[in-house]
Amino acid sequence: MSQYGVVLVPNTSSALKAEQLLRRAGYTEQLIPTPREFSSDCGLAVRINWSQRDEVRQLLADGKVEIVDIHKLDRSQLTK
Amino acid sequence: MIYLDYAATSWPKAPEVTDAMLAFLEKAGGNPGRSGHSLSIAAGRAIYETREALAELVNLDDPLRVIFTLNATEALNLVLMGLLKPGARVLTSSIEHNSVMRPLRHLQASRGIDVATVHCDAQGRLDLGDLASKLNTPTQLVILTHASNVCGTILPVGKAAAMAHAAGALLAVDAAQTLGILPLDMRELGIDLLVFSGHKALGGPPGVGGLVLGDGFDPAQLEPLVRGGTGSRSEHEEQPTSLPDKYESGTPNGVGIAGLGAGVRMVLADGVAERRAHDCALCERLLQGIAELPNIRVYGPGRPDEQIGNIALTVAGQHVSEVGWQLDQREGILSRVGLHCAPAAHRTLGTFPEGCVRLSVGAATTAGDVDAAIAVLARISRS
Repeated sequence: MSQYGVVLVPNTSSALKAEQLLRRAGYTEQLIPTPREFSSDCGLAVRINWSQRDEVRQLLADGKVEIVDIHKLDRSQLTK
Repeated sequence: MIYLDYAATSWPKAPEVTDAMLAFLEKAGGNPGRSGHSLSIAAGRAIYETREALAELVNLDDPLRVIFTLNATEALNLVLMGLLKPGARVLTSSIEHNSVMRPLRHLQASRGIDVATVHCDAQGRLDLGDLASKLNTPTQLVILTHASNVCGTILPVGKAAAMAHAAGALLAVDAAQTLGILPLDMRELGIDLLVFSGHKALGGPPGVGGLVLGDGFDPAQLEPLVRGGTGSRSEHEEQPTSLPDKYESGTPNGVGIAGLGAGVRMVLADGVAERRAHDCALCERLLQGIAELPNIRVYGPGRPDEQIGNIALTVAGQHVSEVGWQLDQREGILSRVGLHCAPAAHRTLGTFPEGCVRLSVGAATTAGDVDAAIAVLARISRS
């Protein structure tokens, strides 16, 4: 089973921008409600494959998306 | 009915625009950025796609630098109120709309702003020599219309940007009349702050305008006009600094922004050059037709390559309101008469305080529409 990471961004527009950049680059991503234990900055976060976190960090930095943090996600309800 | 009032708003709106608005209301009705559920995300996506289309239109990398406001006037207020420090010097032109002049006059009185006006000639052409000389005094901002809302004269904003930057000033451009019909590459032209209207040449509905922050513009310089809920950083009572939330508080006009997105995508599909060529051909036809008529005076350059499709005119011995009424009554030709919210421009053109008749063409205007206007003007001018 693949492990997921969650990319925290400052606002919804940034989450939507990240979604577009990742989708166009062929990554598997999904917008999810931000797990409260990580942040309350923005209600939306971007779920990615944890193994791709370094590439994703680089891609989003190149696309000028501010990343607040990337956490490993292990909550079952958000990983189905 | 013949609609020749595109400078006020474009009409009719394309079915693609109304379809996008209906789809937003029926299928994406959530509050964008407030909730994480699918309807909220769908609303957010529709708005984000409009940011992307606008960023592409002005050749900007980052869609988050597109800020939505109620209209161009609000965006101009955001620029002027948010940027100008007490005692700052601002340069503007002598053909500006009141959406620039009224905030400037207010700031002159309230913050001691030094407002200097760069001369335009009687055809509305900006005097670059006067701009250069006025930039010898330290200046924070130069703000110019891209084209006159009265007589259509296009201002050399690229040259003005280079001159402003060399003098350490920023350049803001009011593109309410031009985004969608004139090429506007922010990087090539060096525009720091670009204000647009959603409901004019972009073909969107009323209730949406905006501000685009240039790649090199540091948002730390610009205070928001309105503060409040953004759906982000909700644990803090201070306004967030991230874009676009810093400048977008409260629920946005999602339905209007979705409609605008459809309008912008149509402009991108047609190409700005094609839209411009359409307007130029009609503008030339109208100018040539009017040139043959007695007793009519046209203001502005009188050349399609130096102006957009706004034609300002007066008929000797007749009040402008009478001419406008006859255009409407005889052939259902809709124009706008008076001062067009731009007393400064009318003083420059020599048409203050009476004003003039403005005919303005746009996307759905045909050669037949223009010919009908010329025919009625021929009858009015000989009466």
